[in-house]
Amino acid sequence: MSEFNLSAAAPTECTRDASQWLMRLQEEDVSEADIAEWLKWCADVENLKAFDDVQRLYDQLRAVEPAERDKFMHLANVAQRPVSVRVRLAEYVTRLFDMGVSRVAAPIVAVLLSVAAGAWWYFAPTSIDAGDYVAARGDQEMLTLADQSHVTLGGETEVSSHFSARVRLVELRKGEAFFEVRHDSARPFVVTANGITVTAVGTKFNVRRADNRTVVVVAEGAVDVSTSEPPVVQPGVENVIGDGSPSTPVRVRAGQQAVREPGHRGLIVSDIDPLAATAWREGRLAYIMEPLGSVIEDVNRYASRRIVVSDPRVNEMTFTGTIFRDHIDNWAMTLVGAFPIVAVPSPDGSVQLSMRPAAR
Amino acid sequence: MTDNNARDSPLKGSPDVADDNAAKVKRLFDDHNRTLLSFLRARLHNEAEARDVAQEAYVRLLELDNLNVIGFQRAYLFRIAANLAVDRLRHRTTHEAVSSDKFFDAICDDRSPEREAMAGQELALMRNVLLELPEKCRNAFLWHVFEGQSTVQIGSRLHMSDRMVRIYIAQALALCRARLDNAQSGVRLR
Repeated sequence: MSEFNLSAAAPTECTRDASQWLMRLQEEDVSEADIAEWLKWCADVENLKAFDDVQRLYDQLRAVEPAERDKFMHLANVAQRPVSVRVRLAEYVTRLFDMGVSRVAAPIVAVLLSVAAGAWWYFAPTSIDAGDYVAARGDQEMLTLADQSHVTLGGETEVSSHFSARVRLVELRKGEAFFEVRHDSARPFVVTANGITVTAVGTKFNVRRADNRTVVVVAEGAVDVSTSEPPVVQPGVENVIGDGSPSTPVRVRAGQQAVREPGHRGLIVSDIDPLAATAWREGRLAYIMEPLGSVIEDVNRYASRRIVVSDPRVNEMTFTGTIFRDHIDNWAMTLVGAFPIVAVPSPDGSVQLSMRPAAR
Repeated sequence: MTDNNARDSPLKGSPDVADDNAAKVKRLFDDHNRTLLSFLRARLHNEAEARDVAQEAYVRLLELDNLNVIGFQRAYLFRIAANLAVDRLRHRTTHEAVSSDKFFDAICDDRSPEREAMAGQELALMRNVLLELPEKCRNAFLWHVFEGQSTVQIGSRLHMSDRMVRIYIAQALALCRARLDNAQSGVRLR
């Protein structure tokens, strides 16, 4: 048999939607609104056919003979077949943003989208998986998006993409990703992450979320970064902090980083060595004066032994240094000499970090 | 107006109302039976039980005094069916014999053939496809499909939300389906 044509074998949107629906409908608490939404989706006979096809395969696999089942279970915990570049050529037919979003409005739409993203899953599950990409803990994934932009995902990272004729929208939901954006001035490339929006036309930059902190580092070209603050109402006080609207974008150039700290509304822009910030792609995590909490969150995306911090003061200490992926499992133990902390291995394989009790 | 008839008549089985209900149920059946069965298969994973529960749902509708009182009949049909499916899953006894109600003999003429098992070659292809997936995604799929673990169980095992587990499983399933379709449209496997 000849080689598979990757693009032809990538699931169609219809099949992806059908699979999502199959999983959703199986939940015991599926709501009437969900069922109504599903029925609306099924009104298109092509969708219903795709649903029945996916359902049939699902049931056929569940019903295989025990000997075949064993063969399948042997695949659990086997390393992923090495593929140097995973090409996902699925055609993203996202009807969402084909409504004439101008370049100025694109970040606003992106912010609104990220605010609504949580609820969105329930209301429009047929569109959210247009391009969901996930790298497992300890893994690194290289993707080529539909526009030929490249994205490298760090460990335990989730992104989703929604491309249209007017805007290329990517949401970094978790973890860290390095973007090499294909130049297209007519179609801005917009990344949203934890209340910030990065708008690029053609450039290379890294976005990292850790411990509620978001860091954008530009390796080549420049990007515009803006923040949005969800409204916070303090009980008993007649004030609203933040209104959810995006701030004026800040231009961040190659060799600079923009940091959004939890609890701060603005962005802190400073100079940085972009090679250090993107060294994770070569198996090194490098930091200068980084809060330990966000370092630990990064390490946890790669290490097989999870680090659990049981005292928030540990997170506030600052760390400078380089962590090598090859030795990452033992890194927590090396902190003991450098910081006033104790590390205790747990029976579940994790390591508990807490403050060293003061000497008497 | 049949609505008034129903309210005036103390008789449940008043012929007018019964005929009227039967016509409405027949319409619901014609319009929605295919989706209802798809829905029930997704919940029960058993063709016979899906048909059984669908039939029971129609019977419940037929037994109602007057279907006009129910505002949105389609939603009601699916709600009854969903509830019956939940009961069925809780008890999961050997399914009862399908009743030979004349009503259903008349309208149930689309019995589909038994689902055939997959060929060994197709299963081998599925295993190859699964190996292309990241380990977590593949494990979630295997544990769910072949060991029957719930998305919540898998989520706690993989330190992630059950929502994410659903996405993983759906991704794996969609890829398997696409590759199988691709293989079947190219070289026939049997």
